[in-house]
This record gives sequence, C-alpha cells and structure tokens, in this order.
Amino acid sequence: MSRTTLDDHATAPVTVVHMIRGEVDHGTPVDLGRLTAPALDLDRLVWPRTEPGPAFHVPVAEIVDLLVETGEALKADRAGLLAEALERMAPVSPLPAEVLERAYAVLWRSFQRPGLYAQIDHELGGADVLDGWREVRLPDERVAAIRAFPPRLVHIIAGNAPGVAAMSVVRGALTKGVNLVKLPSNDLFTATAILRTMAAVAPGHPVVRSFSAAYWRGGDEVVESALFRPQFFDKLVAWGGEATIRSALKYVGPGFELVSFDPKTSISMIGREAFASEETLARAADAGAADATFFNQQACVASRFQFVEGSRDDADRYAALLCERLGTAREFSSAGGPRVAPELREEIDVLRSMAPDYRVWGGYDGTGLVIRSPEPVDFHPDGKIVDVVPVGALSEAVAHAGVATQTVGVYPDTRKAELRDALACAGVQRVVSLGRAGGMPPGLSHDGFYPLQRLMRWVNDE
Amino acid sequence: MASAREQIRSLALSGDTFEQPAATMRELQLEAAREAFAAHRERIPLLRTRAEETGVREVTTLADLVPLLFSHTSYKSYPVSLITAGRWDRLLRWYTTVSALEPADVDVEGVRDIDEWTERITAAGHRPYITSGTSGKVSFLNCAESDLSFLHDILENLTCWPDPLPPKPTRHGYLLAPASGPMRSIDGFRWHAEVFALPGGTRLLTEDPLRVSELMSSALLRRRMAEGTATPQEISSFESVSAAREQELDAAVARIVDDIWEHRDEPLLIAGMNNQQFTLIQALRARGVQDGSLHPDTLVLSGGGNKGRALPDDYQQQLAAFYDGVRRVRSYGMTELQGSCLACEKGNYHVPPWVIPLVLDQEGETLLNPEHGVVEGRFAFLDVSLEGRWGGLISGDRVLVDFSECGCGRPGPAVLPDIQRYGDLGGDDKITCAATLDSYVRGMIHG
Repeated sequence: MSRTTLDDHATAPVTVVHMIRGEVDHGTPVDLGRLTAPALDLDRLVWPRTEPGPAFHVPVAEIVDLLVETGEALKADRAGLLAEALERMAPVSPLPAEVLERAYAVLWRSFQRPGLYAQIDHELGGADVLDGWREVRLPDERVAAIRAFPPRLVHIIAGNAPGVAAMSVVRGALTKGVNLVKLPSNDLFTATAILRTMAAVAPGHPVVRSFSAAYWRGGDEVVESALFRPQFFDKLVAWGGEATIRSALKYVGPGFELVSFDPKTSISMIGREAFASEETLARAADAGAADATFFNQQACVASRFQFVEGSRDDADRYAALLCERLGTAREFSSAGGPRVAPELREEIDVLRSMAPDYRVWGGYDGTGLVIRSPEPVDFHPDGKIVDVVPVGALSEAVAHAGVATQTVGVYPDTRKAELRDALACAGVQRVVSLGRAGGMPPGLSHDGFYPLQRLMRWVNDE
Repeated sequence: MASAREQIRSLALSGDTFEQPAATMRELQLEAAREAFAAHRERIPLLRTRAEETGVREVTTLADLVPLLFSHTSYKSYPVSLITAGRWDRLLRWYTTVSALEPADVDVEGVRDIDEWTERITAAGHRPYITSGTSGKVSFLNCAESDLSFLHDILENLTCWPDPLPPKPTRHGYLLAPASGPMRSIDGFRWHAEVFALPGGTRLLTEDPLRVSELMSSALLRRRMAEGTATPQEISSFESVSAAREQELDAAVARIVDDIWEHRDEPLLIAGMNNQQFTLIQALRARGVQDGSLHPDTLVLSGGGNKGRALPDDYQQQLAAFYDGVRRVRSYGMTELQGSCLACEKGNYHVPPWVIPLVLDQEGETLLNPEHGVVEGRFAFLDVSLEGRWGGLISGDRVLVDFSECGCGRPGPAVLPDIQRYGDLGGDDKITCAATLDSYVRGMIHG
C-alpha cells in the first residue's frame, strides 16, 4: 500500500537550547516532533524559597551596568550568539529573514542606560525602593517603610516580535528576582541568545544565575501543574495568546497571581487635514502604512482598521496611496510578506465582487492589500491587510475602539487631544501620533499598567 | 447523448451506483467537472473572479480544480451588519455572488427579518440551506429545485446502502427536529418520514419552524458585546432564554421517549442530530431499554459533528451499541455535498460518483490524489451534481482516502473511518500579542 503523508516535505528538527540558572543545559536532547530540546529537570527550574534569590541583594546600579554591557555585547555579537539564533530562527519563524535580522540588530536598544532608568524612575519612583527601604510618613505622623521586594516570576512570552524577549529579560533583571522564561514555539531562540550573551559578559553573576529559559509545550499539565504553584513562584507573567491566558487561569489562586499582557489589536484615525494637499495625504498614508506593517502586521500595535474622516472618494484616495506604501520595506517590515491565507482571500474575493459598496486595492501576494468598506469588515485583517472605513467625523470612529484596542494612531497630532478621553473611556491604552505605534518608549505604561511596579512584591515595615 | 453530469446523476437510480469501474468513472467525472465549471462560471461571480485571478480557463486535469475550490467560509462571508441593519438588498447581492441565482429573480421589498429574506429566495425556486458553526454566524448554501429532487432520489434509492431499504411506510416516526426550517437535515428527516414512516403518525420535537434569526441570535449578541452596546441585563436574558429553550426541548424529548417506550417492540424511524440522539438513548436506557433490543426494521438517522465537545468522546460507540441490530444510515458527509459517502460492509465510506474527492495537503494547495493506494490529507471535493451553487469546496477534515479497490470488492475511492478535524489536532503553540476582539467575548455566552 503506498501512502503519502504530510511530513514528506518536513525539514530536520530544530535544536532548542535551554539555559538553566545562567548556564547552558547540556542534558540529553529529547525528540519533540519538529524540535529537540533537553529533557526538563523540573527541580532545576525552581529556586527554593528557603533561600533568597541570587540577585536579591545586588545594587540596582550594578544590574544596570550589567544590562548596558549586555546591550553592547548584543550590538557587537562577538560570540556570534545572535547570528546563530537568527540562523535557526529564520526557517521556522513566520517572519521573513530580513525583518528578523533588522529586529535582532536593534535588540541592544532595550538595554540602554537612559531607558533602564526611565523605567525605574517613572514606574517605581526611583532606585532607592529597589535597593532598600523607602521611608514614608503615615497620616498619623508615624514613619513606616516600604520596599519593592524581588519577586519569583514565570514568564510566558510571545514570539511574534523578538523585542518581547529583550523586554522580559530587562524587566526580570531590574526586579532582582528569579525568572523562568517559557519559550514560545514561534520564537525558541531570542531569549536564550540574550541570556547566553549576558552570561558571556559576566559568567556566574547573580543576575545571570537568576534566569532560566526552557521550552515545553504550552498547556502541558505535567509541567505546568507542578511549577505554577505559590510555593515556587509569585506571579505568572503571560503575554498575549487567548489560549495561554485561559489555560493560565487554572493555576491562579491565593499567592499565585497573573500579570497579563492581554492579546490586543490596534487601529488608526485619519483626520480630514490629510486631504489638505498631495503632500499631507502622502505623509498620512506613509505613516498609516508604517503602523499597519509593524512586524508585517504580526504585532498587537499593528493597525488593521483605519478610519478616514471624509467621503467615500476621499477614503479611496487614501486607500490607494496606503496600498502602495504597504509594499515598502521599513525597519520592522519587509516589502513582501506572507501570502494572504486562503480563507481571508475568499472573504475578500466576495467583497471584491460587491463594488461599489466595497473596493479592494492590491493582490494576495503579501505586499499589501487594502479594502474600503462602509463598515469595518467582520474578519480580522492580517498579514498586511488594512480595512479603510470612511466616517463623517473621527468622533464616530471611537465607537469602533474597545477593550481589545491597544493603540490608536491619529493624524494629525493636533487631533489626539480631542479624541483621547473618549478613546480611553472605550478601553484604549495608547493614543499615538500616526506612524509612532511601533516601539513603545520605556518608562510609560504598558497595556494599562506599569509593568515593573506590578512585577514587584510590595512589602511594608510599619 | 446525455451530458456527463446527467449521466452521473442518473447513477443514483441505477442500482449499481457504487460499482462503476474506476477508470471509466474518472473520465466521466472529468468531463462532468468541465461541464460544471463552464456552466457555473457564467452565473457565479465568485467563481468567475477566482477563475480570472488564477488563470484557469478550462479544466483539463483534476489539479486545475484546486485553485477553484471555495472554503466553507465563502458561504458565510457576508458582513453581519447587513443583517443587523436590514440591508436585505445588499445581502441578496452578496448571496448571488456565491450562488447561481439572479438578483432580479428575488423580491426583497418589505422584508423584515432574515427568516423572511430566506423565504423570499425559496419563493424564487431556490432553497438556501443553512448550517451553523460555533461562531454563531450561519452559512447559506444555495440549492436549485433540481438539487432538491436529486437529494430526494438519493434517499429513495440509497438509504441504508449497501442493503437499500424498500420505500415502505411501515414505521412509527420520531423526528428530533422542528417541523420545518431551511436545514438539510430537517428536509432529510421529513422526506425519510414521508417514505418510510406510517402516514400521519410522525412525532416532532416541536411544531414550530426553526428560525434562522434564532440560530443567529448568539452571533448578533456577540457582535453587540464586542461593540460594547449589549447590556448585562440583555446578556443575562439571553442566557435564561437559552436555558428555558433547552428545558422545553428536554421536555419534548421526554414525551417522545414515552411514545417510543410504548412502541418499543415495533418498527420505528428515529431521526435526530447526534446530541439529541444521545440524550434520547440515555433516557431510553434509564427506562430499562436494553442495548440492541429495538425492532430490526427500525431505521435510525443521525448526524452532526460534536461541536463544542458537548458529547462524550465515545458517543459514537454508545450510539452504535444502543442501536445494534437496527438499520442505521452510516455515512460521512456534510451539508455542502449532495447525499453522503456511504459505509460499505467493511465500514469504509464510498464516495458517490457525483462527488470527485480531491485530497489536498494540509494547506489546501496541492492535490495529492494518487492512482492507487491510500493518501492522507485534507478532504476537498467537487460535487458535479449541484446546480444551485458551485460544488467545489475545501473542508476542515483530515481524512485517509483509499483509491484502490475496497476490501468489499467495489472500486474506490473510499474514505477510511479515521476522520478528524484539523482544528481538533492541536494548536501550534505559537504565542502572539496580537488578537481579535473575539478573545474578549468568547466563552461568555452559550452557543
């Protein structure tokens, strides 16, 4: 009997490296289907509560120095660790190699001194509360003290943008706590490459020993029900992924908290000022395209619906230009992109035949596609697809923002002030100048809260 | 000389539908595929668009069909806002892009809701069969009158194949379904009752027709929740109305159980979707009806996937055990194709001649059909019999299809019993921070 299977074209399994408490794990690799990874030793993935974590007493200044040095090392990549990760990542990542390369080339930016202090200063009010007890005067004139005490964290990170790994390592290090990073299958390499780089900068450093990064299949109850307990960890820091968040909820209970960077989506609002001249229209379309293509639209900040204040013809002019600009390579996007998935293609084909109520620019090759529709389409535009919707006034578009909306890019800047309260009321977390959706500045809130402040355990001496 | 499509359709009545030599069938099917493509391309805009875009002008091999296949989502690709805003003309325009129906043939003047819209299309000589998925958004699959009569031919001639049941009205009928409604299963149950059940003696779950607007109510509420316009009171009422409805259905099933109990030693016709069948057999078992004890002339029709995992994993085995010894229609199919692939003595599902199976890779892009042997992949097909819509579709099912002669001695192709949904085979463990609004709504309402 001849039998053709789906695996005929499968490539060789990917080798995943684990970092355990700052050292590369040389355990025997086990076959996990599409990848091999060292067998997990659950005992080595926890830091016993009977003793403080390795970095609990390291001064923040020293940690910042280590991170800055790590940043320099990442920039130079002398040991070739990032290059190696990139090479392994390229064949398995949904992102094109050129986008990954450019993202890797700027990973170091998350490790710059001013950005690190911006987080400490804005989120915690200064380094003093990390390094010791901060005196506070109580209403009855007594003096008490508080401390941002190092936590024990499990991070379930997202893999759609390499910067997530960098951000997680930075936050974890600044807390001085212990950190177990669970690698996602769409980015099995970035976190490990960063941690290995840090270990090369300062082998055996307490902060280095405070980190592990390992892969297990998300939701694997054998692993997760053993680890996700307050006896071992204080908080689960989970990124995105509806399934992740729902599965994490099973383990949340007294003493084991969820810090969730919820799954999000983003939109744009283009005011009638864009139509003042050819030049302003081109500028708005370019900024709209930049926001829509961030990580080829794989990120939560990537705009998918753009509301244009004007007539249907105005919206068409904007849409045509936008479509052209989607196919331009940018720092975090490529000129090409993934081909439009068959199911989306089908939905769009139907709309195409419903002109003039709907109009479509571009094709399905991944370089960009724009739909103009009287109302937002029902499906989720993905892979460089933007839905442009004309509105009489930008205030009408606020109705299309909700609890799932993270970022709203507005053109021109001057219109932000009139919209931001209404958007915030609807559930939005960031209102930005159109074109600035990508790259959140350090020290500001993220998903509606200050992460560093939320990761700490706040302890009182009354 | 009759066209290839007519020749193939006539095989339903031939008495040897599944015994056609494989090589002859392949040629006839290819010719029928050519005819179907030529006919539908003229009338179905979505197919025309697809043909132009992919450059397929003619069907010369089966591989030419692959880029022309629709996915099941095509039939629910309308914007929900057309229904909520009552844009019946626009909804009709949408519908005519996916079906062989002329917009001018349907009058939507004065339509008040989706049920009336559906009735207007039916009045124009077509039948939009609806199917509902877990999202609550329903698909509209168009059938022409000729499609309905062909379906009727299939049931009269092939029910219980390979040992067809003589069309005699001798059974007490029990249909675990509403009296009417635009669902293929309801039509199928009713027609079976007309052919195989005692005249005038069939009991229904409810005398009320099934309403499309009710099936869509969860989708409509979900949309309002996503928009932030649904109130907590509204959500709570929806929950209690759903619960009350379930209780009514349970009571109706209980009445049917009483009646079956009385006639348990006589021939019966029991038709229902799997979840209702399961409720029924549990109730009958509780009344002391032993597995395998029903009259051997009893005919049982069941179907429907286990959407939302409402049934235990072994529900199929439990149904088989309880109905052991009776006549059961055992088949693999979906509303999207006419008739079904029927199980032979060996338990393999033989693909009827009017359905060309196209086994694709998981992505649904490459045709894997071999000359002989077993191939694993995504089940897709072209049903050449369909007049009301294009019969080419890609399913979500992972199947094994044997193209060689079956163990029962008949030629293939046959779908082997191990059928799974790709969606149930586990995710890819990729985590991204990007999501749809759905994440914030799902799980909060039933349905």
